[in-house]
Amino acid sequence: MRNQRIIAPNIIFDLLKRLLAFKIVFLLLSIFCGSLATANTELSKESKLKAAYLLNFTLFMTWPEQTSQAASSSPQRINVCVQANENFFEFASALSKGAKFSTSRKQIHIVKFTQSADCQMTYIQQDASVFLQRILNNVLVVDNATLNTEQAAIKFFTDKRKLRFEINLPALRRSDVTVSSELLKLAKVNRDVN
Amino acid sequence: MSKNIHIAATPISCLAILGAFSTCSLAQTTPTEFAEMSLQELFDESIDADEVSQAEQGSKWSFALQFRRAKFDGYLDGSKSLSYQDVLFNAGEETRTAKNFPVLPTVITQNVTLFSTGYQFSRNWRAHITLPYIHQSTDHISIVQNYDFFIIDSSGIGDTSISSSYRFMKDSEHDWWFSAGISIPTGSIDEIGDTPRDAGDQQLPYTMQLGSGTYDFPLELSFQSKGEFDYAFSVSANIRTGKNDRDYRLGNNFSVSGSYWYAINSSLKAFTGLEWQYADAIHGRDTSLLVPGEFEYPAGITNPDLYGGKKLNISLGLNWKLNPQYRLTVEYSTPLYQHLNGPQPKELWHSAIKLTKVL
Repeated sequence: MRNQRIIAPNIIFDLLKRLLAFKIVFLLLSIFCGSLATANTELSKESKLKAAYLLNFTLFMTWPEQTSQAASSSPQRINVCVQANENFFEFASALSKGAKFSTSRKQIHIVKFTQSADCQMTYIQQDASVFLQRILNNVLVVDNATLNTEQAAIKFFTDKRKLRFEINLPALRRSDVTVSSELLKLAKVNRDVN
Repeated sequence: MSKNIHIAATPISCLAILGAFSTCSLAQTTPTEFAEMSLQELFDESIDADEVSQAEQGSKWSFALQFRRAKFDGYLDGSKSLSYQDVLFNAGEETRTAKNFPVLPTVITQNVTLFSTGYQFSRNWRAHITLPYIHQSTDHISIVQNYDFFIIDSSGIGDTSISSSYRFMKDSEHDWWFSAGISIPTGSIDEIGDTPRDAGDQQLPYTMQLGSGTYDFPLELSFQSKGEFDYAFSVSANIRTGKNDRDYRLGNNFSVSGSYWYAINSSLKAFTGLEWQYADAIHGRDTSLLVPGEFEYPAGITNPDLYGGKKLNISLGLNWKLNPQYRLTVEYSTPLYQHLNGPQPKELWHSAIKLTKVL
């Protein structure tokens, strides 16, 4: 039977400390509730990585126009056309403003697929095989899981929780694009001619 | 999985400080940070859906609220179990020795609420500050008249911990981190209460104090896998310096732990881990806890030599990514083996619930 109960600190000081703890918990709950509504719109990390890869691919590729303009100091405009959701488009657009891409000899522009016919690279995120006939003579990049076409020059796939890519050399050659060996070192390379 | 080091009935400052001294995943996914990444860095990056970091959410700030609870009951001397009657000195029935006492703590319950804020300076540097609020309660029995059963509570702010972590090695399979910090003695070591030692309020034993009273230095070396299998390993220590105003210093703590994580689905992971802990006894002593006579320790918890020991814990838990900004971790741990400088109260279990949010 409990016959004594002894509270160590004095009551007023203890109440003040409990009040402080309560306020912090209240603040936490407010922050928690306030942001739940917007949290689900966040772009997945995999999608962000794909956007970053797309822009980096352009740095390791050479388009025919660039060869002819080699003597010129004006940067070459590379349109990366994106068929993806709005979040992806916005993230990729923000990425393209990064120092690495803006100081390049190329000017990288992220363009909505439906708004441009002049694409040097096209990324199809969803199953959009109906559009494939529109995509000629440019580097087609697809997600292996949603759109598996031989027309694709680069296919994203995942392996052991890492994002990887396969380069289809024949498809790339059909686009008259040359690719750096640095990029090939990291890629799974498909040399088969279909 | 967060770490905590506290050998049975070790003063709660250990639970509070090291409960917050944990490693978490780090990634970078704001447009600016992604733009700075090389192709090789992109290649090495994991797409693990459970990774939550400040940068990933577009902010460098994070906040965590954690509740930790531990319960101690029963006694061990080394690895040998002792009953209350073995440790309680029964006057007239047995001889008083250095291993029996007229006052005996029975059930010890420790609750800690940890408020933690983190800031990520860069992809490889981050810092945390953690403030604990502690409440603990100890049931006692004794042979002292009018104190045959009594409870002592203490509560308040514990020691504040500031730590910084540096990722010194990163490859496609592993991340290596080193963390170092300082624990500032903001927790009281002057908690008082009514004990059988004398009339009125007196200084409470080491277990009931809220802080260490010294500047302590938590250190941790850890690595995490990023490959097909999720596992982590860490070595940590809490080094204490000097002596506090009451002329003692809590024992140093050391820990080695490993854990394995299994993905149930893209947002839920289960984990299990083992942790080996070692703690020193208390150095020096608080003379206000002593009583006159041949046997100057009225209870085991007033004897600084009866602290510390070795322990092997097994833990089980779940980590649930509620959405990209919130992660909830639940953990339960119990000792598989304890070898304590006893007689000393033995730990039954400890548990934790942690909510992490990126602001």
